[in-house]
Amino acid sequence: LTSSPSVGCFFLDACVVLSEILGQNPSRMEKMKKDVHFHSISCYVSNSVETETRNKVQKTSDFLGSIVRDTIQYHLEENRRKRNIPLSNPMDSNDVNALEDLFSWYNEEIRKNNVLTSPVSLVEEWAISFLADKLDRRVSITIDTFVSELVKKLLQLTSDIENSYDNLITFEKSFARKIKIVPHSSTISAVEALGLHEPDCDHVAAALENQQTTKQKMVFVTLDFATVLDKRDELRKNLGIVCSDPLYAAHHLV
Amino acid sequence: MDIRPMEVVETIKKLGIKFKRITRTFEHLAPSKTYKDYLNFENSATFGSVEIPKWFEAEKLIETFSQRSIQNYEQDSELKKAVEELKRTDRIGRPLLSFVQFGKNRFESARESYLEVEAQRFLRSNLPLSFYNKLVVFNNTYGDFLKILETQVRHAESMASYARSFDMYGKKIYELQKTIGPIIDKMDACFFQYTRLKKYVSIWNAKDYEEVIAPKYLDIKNLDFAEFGKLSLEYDDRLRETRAFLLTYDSTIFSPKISSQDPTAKMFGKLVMFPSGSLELQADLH
Repeated sequence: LTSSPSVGCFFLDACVVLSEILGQNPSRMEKMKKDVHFHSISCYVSNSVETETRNKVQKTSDFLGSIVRDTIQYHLEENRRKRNIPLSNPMDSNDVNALEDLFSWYNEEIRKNNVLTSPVSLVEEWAISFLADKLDRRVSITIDTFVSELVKKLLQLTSDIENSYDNLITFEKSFARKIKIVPHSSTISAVEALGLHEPDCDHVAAALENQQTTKQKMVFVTLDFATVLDKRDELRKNLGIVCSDPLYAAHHLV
Repeated sequence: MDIRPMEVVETIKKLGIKFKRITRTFEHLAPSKTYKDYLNFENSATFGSVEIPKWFEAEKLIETFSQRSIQNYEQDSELKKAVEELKRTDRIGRPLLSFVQFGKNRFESARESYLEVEAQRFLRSNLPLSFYNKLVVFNNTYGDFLKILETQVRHAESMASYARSFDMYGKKIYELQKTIGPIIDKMDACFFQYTRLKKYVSIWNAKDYEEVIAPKYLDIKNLDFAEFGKLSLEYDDRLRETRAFLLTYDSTIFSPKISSQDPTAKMFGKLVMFPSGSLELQADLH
């Protein structure tokens, strides 16, 4: 069942697009999509959001590849050489300990930069859980196979991400439509003045400019609590733009 | 797809009674170009459009790559048999469908090994993972292409086999040509860009003709960034165009398959939300 006509539109932030592509925040995303369908709300993805989404996927993929190849593989092989153990021998708890040393050092370095959550610790959990599962099941695995399996998982996932991205954005086969907006520098400056930085200010400025041009009710939908949603009152008061979590977005229109 | 429908009428005698047996199939209009001709053409187009290191000659590269493909084909008895079967004009049934199914099944059973090959190449290089992502996307697109081709050929050959008259059979075969010709052409053009990009990376990382097919290590520093960027962009554009084209035949091929419970997707989903700068910070620590 859908109600019509359209009550307004959503401008999606890159984090919302990424959540949809990666199947993250399923409850919030499902609620938003149900609202979109029921109230016939148009969903737009601006060109700046499109660019940020693609760049983030590429950067994350390259970061992960680099950690697996240039850090995990390199460190495991170096450790074996120091211990005079052939590289072709199956992995055991000594190799897990070598990885523990590596990640301890890494996390220590990260903490020196006052970063609370380290991206490396997420990679650490993923890689060690995978290896521990193999060792627990007494599966014989060499260093070469271990790193190759990790890379294969990443390649498979990024290929699936490409499909989801193309389905949602490139070929517009889902609920969102692309919109090309080049916001005026004065609009970007007005958003920046409220403390938003690039590329968030470009995304919000694009939504704002569209709202001013079309006079259509609009909500900027984001999951960015730290840099956008924490300024939603100022954004609404000073610029007249509504920013909302996907869970509540439709309720600003209906 | 240079084929023409044909009808073979035979008179056979069974239990003293004469019967007319009509076999409908298709024949190749012109003698098909040899595989070697095709490879030479493709490799000439490749090495005629990329910059070649001064220690290589274009002609010799064309010969080396073509020769290697011929060798692979000669050693592949299964593929040779399937091609020979397709060439037989006396073949009844659904020759094209059998050939496409052979290709699709082979591709499906080797899908994991294609992933393994790209993973190994990544580990023996310093190129970013996103470069190999593009190559895996091509492989998966090729799998989608084979599925679509199978559906189209099955439908068209089935319609042709039910044709009551030779005229109708001919019409259906021409329809088949008209349907699958553009799909094959599109994929062929994409395959060319894919192999050209890979061959470009290989030749700049090989010191001699022996190594050129599979260099031991792929070093990004050996590539000219402008040329590499241009070839990558051309490949990206062609891949996107091909995927858009395939989507017109099957709107479900790129439907999302990622499970939010998959540990790799979960980890990636959290990482991608980090500010880009924090990922650069981590990379600096290597």
